[in-house]
Amino acid sequence: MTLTREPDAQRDVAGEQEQPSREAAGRRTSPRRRPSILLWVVLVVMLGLVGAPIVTTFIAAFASGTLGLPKTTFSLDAIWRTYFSGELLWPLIATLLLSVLVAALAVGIGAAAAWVVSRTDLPRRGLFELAIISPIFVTPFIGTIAWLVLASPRAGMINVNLRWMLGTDATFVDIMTLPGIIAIMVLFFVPYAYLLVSSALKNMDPSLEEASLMNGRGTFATMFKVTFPIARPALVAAFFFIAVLATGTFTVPQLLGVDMGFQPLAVKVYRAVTATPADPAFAAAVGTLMFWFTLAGMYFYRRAIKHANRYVTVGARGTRPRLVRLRWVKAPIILLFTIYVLLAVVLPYAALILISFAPYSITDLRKMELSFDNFFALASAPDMMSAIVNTLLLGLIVPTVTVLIGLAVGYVVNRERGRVAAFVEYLATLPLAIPGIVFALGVVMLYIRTPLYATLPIIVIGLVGVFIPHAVRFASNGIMQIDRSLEEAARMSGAGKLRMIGTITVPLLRPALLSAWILLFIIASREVNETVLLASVKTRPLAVIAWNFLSSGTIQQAAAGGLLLSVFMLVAVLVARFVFRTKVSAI
Amino acid sequence: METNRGIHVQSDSIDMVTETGAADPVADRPTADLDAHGASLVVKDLRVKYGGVEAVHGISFSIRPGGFLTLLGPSGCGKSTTLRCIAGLEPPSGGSIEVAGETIATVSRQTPPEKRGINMVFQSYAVWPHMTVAKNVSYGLRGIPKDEIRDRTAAVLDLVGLSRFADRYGTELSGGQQQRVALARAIVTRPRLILFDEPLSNLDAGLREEMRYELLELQRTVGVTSVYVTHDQTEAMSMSDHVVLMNEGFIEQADRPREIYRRPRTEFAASFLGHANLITGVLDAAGSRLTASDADIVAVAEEALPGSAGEPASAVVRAERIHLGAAAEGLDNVWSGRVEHVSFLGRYLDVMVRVGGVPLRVEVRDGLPLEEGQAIAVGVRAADVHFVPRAERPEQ
Repeated sequence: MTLTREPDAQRDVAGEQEQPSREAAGRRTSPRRRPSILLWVVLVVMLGLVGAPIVTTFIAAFASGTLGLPKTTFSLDAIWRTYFSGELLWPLIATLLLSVLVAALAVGIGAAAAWVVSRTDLPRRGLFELAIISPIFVTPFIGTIAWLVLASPRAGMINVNLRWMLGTDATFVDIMTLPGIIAIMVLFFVPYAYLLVSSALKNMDPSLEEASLMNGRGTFATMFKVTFPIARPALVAAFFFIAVLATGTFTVPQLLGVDMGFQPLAVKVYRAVTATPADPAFAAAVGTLMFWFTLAGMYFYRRAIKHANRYVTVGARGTRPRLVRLRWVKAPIILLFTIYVLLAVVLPYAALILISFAPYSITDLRKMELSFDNFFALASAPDMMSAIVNTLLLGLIVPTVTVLIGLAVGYVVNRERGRVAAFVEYLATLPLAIPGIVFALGVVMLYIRTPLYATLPIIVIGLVGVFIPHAVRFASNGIMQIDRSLEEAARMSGAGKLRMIGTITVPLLRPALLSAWILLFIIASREVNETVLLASVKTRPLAVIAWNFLSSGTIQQAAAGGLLLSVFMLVAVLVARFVFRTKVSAI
Repeated sequence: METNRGIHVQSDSIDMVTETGAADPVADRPTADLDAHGASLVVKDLRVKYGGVEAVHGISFSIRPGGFLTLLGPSGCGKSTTLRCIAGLEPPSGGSIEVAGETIATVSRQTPPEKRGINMVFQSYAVWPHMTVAKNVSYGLRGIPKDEIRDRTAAVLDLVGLSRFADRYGTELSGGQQQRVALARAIVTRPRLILFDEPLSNLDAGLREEMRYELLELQRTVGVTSVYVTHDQTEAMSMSDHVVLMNEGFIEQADRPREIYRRPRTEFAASFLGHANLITGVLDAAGSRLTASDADIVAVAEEALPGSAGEPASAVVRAERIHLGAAAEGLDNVWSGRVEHVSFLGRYLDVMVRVGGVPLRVEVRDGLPLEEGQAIAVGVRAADVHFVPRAERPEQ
């Protein structure tokens, strides 16, 4: 959620270069010292968590079978098939098309919403902000289940019921199409775009826009010539972030694209791993292809924000931005927000609730009988109890570990400069460029011959590796906002380094760390894309159970599972809001 | 080509100077003429509400074309709010604002800021980080030929001494340079009115003084009507021909700087502009003699405070107008005091003298042998004593 705040973007530039030009970094640092022990420890941890799985994926692509098994030998088959046979040409194009389109649409909608909420006299802005963020708890996966219930061509609730009402045989909406896939992904990725762009808009010095007005430019000219150009790092970051997310999401195209044979690369990887016989080498090779692809995206992203240091401006003291009067446009805008919430939250949950009380997959509202059968089935499913326990454990352990590592990384990266720190920072941003499913594949192959394989810790390891960048962003942003002199004053008052961190740094960082924890709790407890590869029968969390129900065709129970998961996350958010006083919009 | 442009620049800046020279004394000039260098500004009974709180309580003032007016006051006094209202960045909740006779803001109807022909220099400079200096400056120039845009931009950059930096990005410049960019951007559109929102407060002391002169010279050159907001009395006194002193949303006093300093109308005005000594007491029947309440002395002033006979009042005495020792003899007011503290400040001695229960700050030229604890004569001319009514609210 925090791909950028402007100063951060600048650090990315410094971190990106293998031989960092110290020009950018050197200005804000004290004389370079030798790397501390903490830095070496962090380096080793990062190499293990992030470096090793990626390297493993590359090695696995050159194996004849599953890496690590005795009979596996060196082979170029998978590489040849992936890169030279032409077999993946269309999936590659499909992936590109999908991710670019989804990212462009989501950022467009998210940015427009962010502008409306932060710059106009829309009433009850907090409510509209909540409306636009709320689908973040629905997740693309749960949203897909719901929309399958609502709008699958034959049995979708909307189609079935409109047919008898209007007396036709027509199909009104069909979610199992390419536009359907794109729409679902856009619908559920908009909150990420909104959060990234709105934080940039809210942090912008209002006088930058006022100066444009004073120079005779109207609202729209100001928006396109000043506001959005200055927010460009955030816009680019959001675009890239969502493009990578979309690239690594196999659930939506896997579920909705079956009939069309629409197979982007993420689906290819998933199928290569889960088909019998599995073809892990091919999966790994496809994974490497995706890696290059997202790495290229990352390169363009970094190029786009290269001059981000220009964007750091002297902030004015608390003047509020001047609010644009919406007048007659107010009603249409409110309508658009309402439609969005209807499509992303209200309709999906209505469908989920209805169908999870329906004993059979009957979507005709006239014939529907309601019962708790699905919940009983769910509750009596043999691994249900363990699934809840697993979800809870993952939801507690993963954020905690990730935030602690993120804090350590953020600290060494910001307070110690030098090549090692720059390399650590680079490692910490790398997982952003790697689709979750590819990373998970690397983790599986890395640990397949160890006792960790098929245990809960391996899921923790896999998720922590992917989530580290988020925690680092939060910690770094927080640390950068802490004036060094606050820490130095502690040292001058006789505190040692550890006491200083414990009594000054961490307490000041508390809000940032709490926000990071909550966010990670949410994404860890609902994660499917990675967990599906990492979990065994005994370690499956709720999200994977729901996924399995869906794969086996019992959509009502999948819906009940999705609903349960949503309640789970809602409780967490409420706890965060009222116990820790952390707002989700702070994410 | 190069030389050609150089000549252009030259002639253009000369144009500006001659424009000023031919300043039209008639206030009611045609309003649509944006090239005109200055328009009058009339603020009538302006009120501004933030949420439920009124920040500005119905203030009125006006400026003649080409004038330089400063809104002065402590932070939170409503001066910036007033300025933003003139700019069109805040709506008024009462009253009206007129520029060159044309009403630009009332409660019900406000001309949008971009259509007011007003430009502004912001406290944070607001130099757009994604544009070069030249682009920043030429941003407001539209609907005129490209050549002219280029020439006017070059001329203004020349005027502020930033020609060398035209292709730099705004935030690659120092604070003072960014300030000049903001200034160039505000004058290049030839606005009818320029607003300055504490433009020098982010600069360090030396640069601030330098920029103060530069800014004033520029304003004289361009001749545009200016409203300047500051909390720094030195800036206000040295730059403006009119100062509007504000406090808590009201105008305390509006006058020429010298007049406010000489004849403050309230205790607040007296103490805000150049530390004044205040001797509290009660006026006699004529209103020209004050019997101090904390000391056994009487202060005599040349001018009586009209209509305040027998009322509580304060005598305002400036530190540099008080004489000590031999110099005090024969003056209209001679009191006996005791030296409490002496500090050497280079050009003068800063002396704290206690007269009865009243502490007086005195600035005297070095050379006077003074010792702490010493008894000394304290003298002030009647012309240098000024009475103000006692403030009803306690001083903060």
